[in-house]
Amino acid sequence: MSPDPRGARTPSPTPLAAVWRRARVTRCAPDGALYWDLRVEAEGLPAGTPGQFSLLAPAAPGAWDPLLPRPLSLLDAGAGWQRFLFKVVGRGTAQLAALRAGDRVGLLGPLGRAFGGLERDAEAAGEIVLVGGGVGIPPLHFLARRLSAAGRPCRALFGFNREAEIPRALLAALDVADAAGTEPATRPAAELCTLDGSAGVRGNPVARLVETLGDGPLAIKACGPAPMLAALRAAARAGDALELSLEERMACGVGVCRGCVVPVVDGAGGWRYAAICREGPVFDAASLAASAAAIALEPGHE
Amino acid sequence: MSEPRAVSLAAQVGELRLANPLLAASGCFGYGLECDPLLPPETFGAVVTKTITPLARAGNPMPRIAETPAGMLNSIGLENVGLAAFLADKLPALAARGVAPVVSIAAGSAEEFAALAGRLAAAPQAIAALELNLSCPNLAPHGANFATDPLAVERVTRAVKDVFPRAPVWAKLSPNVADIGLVARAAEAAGADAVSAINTLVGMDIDLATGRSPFARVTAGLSGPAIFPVALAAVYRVAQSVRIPVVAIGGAASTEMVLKFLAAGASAVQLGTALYIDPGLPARVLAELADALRARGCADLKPLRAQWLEASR
Repeated sequence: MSPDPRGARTPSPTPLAAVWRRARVTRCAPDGALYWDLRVEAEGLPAGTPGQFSLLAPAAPGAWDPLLPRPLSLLDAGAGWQRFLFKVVGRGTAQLAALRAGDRVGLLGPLGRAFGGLERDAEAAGEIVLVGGGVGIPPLHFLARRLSAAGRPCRALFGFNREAEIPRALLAALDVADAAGTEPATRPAAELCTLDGSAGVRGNPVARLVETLGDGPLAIKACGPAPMLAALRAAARAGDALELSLEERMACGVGVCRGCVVPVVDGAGGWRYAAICREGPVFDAASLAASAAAIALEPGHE
Repeated sequence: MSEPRAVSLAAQVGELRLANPLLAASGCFGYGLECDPLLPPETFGAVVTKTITPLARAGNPMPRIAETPAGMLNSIGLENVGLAAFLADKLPALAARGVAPVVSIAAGSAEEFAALAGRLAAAPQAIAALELNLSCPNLAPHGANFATDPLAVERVTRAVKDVFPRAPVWAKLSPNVADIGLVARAAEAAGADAVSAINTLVGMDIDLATGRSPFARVTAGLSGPAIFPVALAAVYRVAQSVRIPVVAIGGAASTEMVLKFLAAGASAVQLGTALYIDPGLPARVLAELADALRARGCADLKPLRAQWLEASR
């Protein structure tokens, strides 16, 4: 994609509104072959917005193994409660999946920079398209419902490997192209893609977007595997506004440890590292430096 | 029911008086204000700011962190804004807030350390102390690890002391040495007002899919509760070796660990990685320390520390 700074939001630290709580688990149940649906509540928890995340501590207090909390994107949130849909990928998420209603879990959130465009007239030009893959879909699902509620229609393209992996929690709130009995006026529409063709359209959501591109500019908001985001950057056109939500291993979640950085362009044509947890996870693609791989190991001490 | 007995958590590191014995460790609390209002800097007896080098550093490429059992490896690489931006932006912001930080500095030679300290000595804002980062394992080449060489520690400390009379100078020591007591004595001989012990341990991980370390610099710094026993032994050893105060650092993540550091001879305790796993920790430790004092019938930390120190000798 050609960098198009029009309307691009320059990364900058957002005010920290997160709270630390021992949140109460109200539900933790498997959904589909890979995902877990986790809901928590905590007094004083600020309402998060789509694209934000929270850090959840898998270990019991004093156990310290695993040590670090896990970042989970918000699937839904309101004042005092949050809901996540996460995939078990290691020890930390396996411990989170073992939580049961009534358990307590350490939670720091909501954190990070949300998707733009929820404000009316924020992006006057262009159809809004959400492109998500796998575990990157929950924040876009949240965004789709918020946009729909705000009277801003969007098109959602969500990709999975196969039908059995699709969580029902996602489908329930969407007007999925092949589902019946939905109410388009209140439910955002989504088109599903599966790599094996077992549900929806065979293929991936980026290919589907390219197949169906019209002439007008798009406001694309994406979250998913790095190769999917890279393909999207390559496919987006000069007039499209592209927002990418990046995923990274994190420690502090507030930008002080500098453990989750990504190179972003600075005003002088150079680059600097931005903390994904604080200046992201949602970045305007135009603000991301072309290639992290191009940045060499810093030379010895200055 | 009678009121709980009033206790004071005030701590003294040499001439520096702190409202409480907990400090935010360098590299784990940014420049002091990033965690506000979640964790205001005033929570701590003092805040040790992220290590400043003469020039800004971008730090190491990703990945920068990896998890170990109860620990964390980091290869951040001293990413920092550099002295000029620190003096222009960070220090004034803290001063406007009424916070006098312990400023952590690192450089490639004794002369560079002295030049940095000299510039900070001329800053109009209050500085509680300087902490010399003599042992960052992520500096290249060869780690710029002054802390493994008692003569180098002496040289750097003396050079800084010569140009920085306005506040105490603390020498931060590395655990990656044969005898940390020997290095602490070198810092004391050069005029250090206190020693901070310890910095991270040298650690490593290997990605079995590639057979290589995930880190560009191969080794990294290990922190977190996993290193606490090593830190406790180092603090004890240093406290037995020098007369100047010891500031403990290394894995403290509970009130019990803080108490053990104080019992080993520390005057104050820095919290680092633990802030990531529980931002509520400092407030809880302070409340529990006050309870511990009341339970022992002590009005402040002094008699408790004296009792422990007596028992340890």
